[in-house]
Amino acid sequence: MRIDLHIHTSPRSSCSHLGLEGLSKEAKRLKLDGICLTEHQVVWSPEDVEKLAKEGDIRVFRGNEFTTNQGDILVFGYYKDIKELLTINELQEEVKKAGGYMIAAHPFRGFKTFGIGQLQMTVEQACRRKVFEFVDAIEIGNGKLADDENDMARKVAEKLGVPGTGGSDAHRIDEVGNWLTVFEKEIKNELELVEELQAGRFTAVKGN
Amino acid sequence: MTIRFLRNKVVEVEPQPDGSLAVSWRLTDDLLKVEVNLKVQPPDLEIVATEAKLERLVPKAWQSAPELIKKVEGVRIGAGLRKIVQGFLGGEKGCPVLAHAALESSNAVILNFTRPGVQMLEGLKDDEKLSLTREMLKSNPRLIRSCVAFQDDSPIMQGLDF
Repeated sequence: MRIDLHIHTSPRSSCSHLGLEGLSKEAKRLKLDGICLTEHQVVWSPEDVEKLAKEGDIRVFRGNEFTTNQGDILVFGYYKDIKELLTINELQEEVKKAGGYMIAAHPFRGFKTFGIGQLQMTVEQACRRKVFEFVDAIEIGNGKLADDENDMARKVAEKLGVPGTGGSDAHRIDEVGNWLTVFEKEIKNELELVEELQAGRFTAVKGN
Repeated sequence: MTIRFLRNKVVEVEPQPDGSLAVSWRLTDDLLKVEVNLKVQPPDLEIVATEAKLERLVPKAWQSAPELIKKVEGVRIGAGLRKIVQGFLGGEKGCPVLAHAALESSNAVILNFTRPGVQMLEGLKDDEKLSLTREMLKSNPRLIRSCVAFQDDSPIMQGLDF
């Protein structure tokens, strides 16, 4: 089952230019079986998601992207509407209680911006980032990142033995599905999505 | 009536023998004396230790500043920093002077690393500068179409296939 785990829509994510019109159609054109709406600390209501899924004839799941002191974290299975910033410890405590799942989103975004001299990072140094002690998985394929940045995340995930996910991080319609996560089983609802994530039955793949 | 108000600020970045950077941000004005010290660890520029001292006429709402600054320990100087610092140190429950201190200190750290690069660029010809900018864009695709300089019809974008 092909799912784009990381999509931002407008107006719920103020940085996104991706409206709802055409989203399901584009996802179907790309042969996606489902999409996850992961706004920046905005939770969709179950009713709105159900309506969108029905209209587009596609599976739509809810997620959330939290900003913490250790960077952005994609969260599934936790639907509390929190607007203020949390530390990674606080977020993990909340998500664990709810039985949810945490993914380090684009952990090496921009790590090469100043990648000169002593700022060049080895995989071993990258593995020591605290964020990896708190998450269940690492986003190893993010559509907004350069290959180098995704490669570093993949190498870290492999070295730490942590599963890797893929998601487009789409903010525009033409970005949808350029990275996705392929699940081994069919997923009908959010509960099953979290179960399959926790079971690790998935692979990150590059999309269109 | 003449109102007199004088403010001075300074920020210093000092490489340490253990490879970290000691950043000292200090402000003195007619009301306040503030000192914020950060320890920043390369290569991913993590803020590993913080300290804040506020003296003289400190507003009551800012009395917890020495504890508040601890919230940015573990934060990396890089993408999303402004949002993270404002979220933890700014706002109604925060202390804006600490948020300024953290952001200005971070800026000083970045300048510490980018100054040699900027100096090197100054010695290059225009086409060599353009070529380096294109290489930088390839490594940072999020910048594409993010501002007028990186729009499709910009000279910088010519010959690039994004």
